[in-house]
Amino acid sequence: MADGSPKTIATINFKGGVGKTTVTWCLGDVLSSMANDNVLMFDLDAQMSLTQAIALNENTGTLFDQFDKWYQKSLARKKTIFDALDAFTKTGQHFDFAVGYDFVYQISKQLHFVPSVEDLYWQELEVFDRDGVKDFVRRLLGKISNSPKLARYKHVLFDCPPSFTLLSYSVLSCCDLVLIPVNPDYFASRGVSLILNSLRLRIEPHPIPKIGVFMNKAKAQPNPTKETRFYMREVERVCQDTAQQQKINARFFKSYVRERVGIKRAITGGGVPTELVGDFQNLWKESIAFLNE
Amino acid sequence: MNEENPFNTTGEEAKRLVEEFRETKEAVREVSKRLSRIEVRMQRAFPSLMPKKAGNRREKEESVAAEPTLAPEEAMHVYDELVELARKDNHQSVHDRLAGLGVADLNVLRQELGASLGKKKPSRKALEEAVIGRIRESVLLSRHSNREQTANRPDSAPDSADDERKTD
Repeated sequence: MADGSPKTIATINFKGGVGKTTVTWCLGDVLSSMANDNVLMFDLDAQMSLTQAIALNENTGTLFDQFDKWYQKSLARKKTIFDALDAFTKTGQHFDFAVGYDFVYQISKQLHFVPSVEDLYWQELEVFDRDGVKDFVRRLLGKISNSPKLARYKHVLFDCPPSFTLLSYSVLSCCDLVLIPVNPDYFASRGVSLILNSLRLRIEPHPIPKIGVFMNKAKAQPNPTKETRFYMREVERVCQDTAQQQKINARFFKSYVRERVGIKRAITGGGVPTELVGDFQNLWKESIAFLNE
Repeated sequence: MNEENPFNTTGEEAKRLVEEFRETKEAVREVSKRLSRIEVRMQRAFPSLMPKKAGNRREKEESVAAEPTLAPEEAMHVYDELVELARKDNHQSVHDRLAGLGVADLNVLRQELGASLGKKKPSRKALEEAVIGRIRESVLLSRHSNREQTANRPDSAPDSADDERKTD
């Protein structure tokens, strides 16, 4: 992306439940509130976890009040991510879709959000042309960056579905960094291994973004337990081996996010639990350092 | 065996017996697995009726009393070697290597791998299984099936005799 364009970061893992949504939210929250940066978050998962959690956000007012009114209006005006994709596939090069605050929801002054819609479930059936969708996210970000109506975003975060959909393909084809959260268990670690081994095959001939893998929900008291360390070691080895074999720039981060009960309420409760703020700040610092290398 | 002597030679007989022995061992192993599964289900269904296993108290006492010879870092080196052996399908060497370790060392290895057993005095068998479980995880994490590579392997070529039979 050209200078001045926002840094784009996609959170993905083919294993569900590793904390993709919570990590996306927490990074967005920490960046917008503590780094004073304008952040735009996308929910690209038809499961709508991030969208639902924001709808339940206790800080936005009464349940189903502020966000829900905006969301209903956005649906009625055909200003959802699905409508944008629909316009892109129908109008191609012209991409006739105006973006404004009827497309982007303002959670706070500096944290903005593009929600998901149920229609994304059927997107795969309606859009067959993978290459036709490839440029969608890049073009949409161009529109957002050039819109005088919207804020200048420094970072764009994507919460991707736990599968390789057309939208995740479009994001991965243009993003700067892929963040893969992993948990200290076999199945989540296997999810990392699967993505790293298939990414080149799926993305080529487009450039492969940098890939940062980190341990999420690390059991730590306060240092990681031996079980967590075992999986950190294994996943790091998988990253190193695959990076070499597949010729991708993948790295296992030293920073990790600890498992805390309070994290489940991070989105609906309106913020990152105090004791985890440092974890997300460290994760962000390492991500940016990796991006800037 | 030839025209004049229709009976097996000693060598042939030995070969046949070894084969039969191997097959029988395999069958017994399978029956043993099935019995274990039935036993577990029985224990679940009738926990009060099933007798508790009498553990080898002496072995456990030894395991607790013994001083490990492996430091935690050394244990991880041993683990890496075991993983390498397992990756090369050298499973017997893995078992032999584990069998050569003392219970206290196995316990250090198990602890370093973060494999929890929920027992204060685990048996040698439980310790070995915990370590082997971790080795399996490590091997499987790096194993991937690539359709193109698989299709190009010599053993993936269709068997012409089989094909002919199928079309008959």
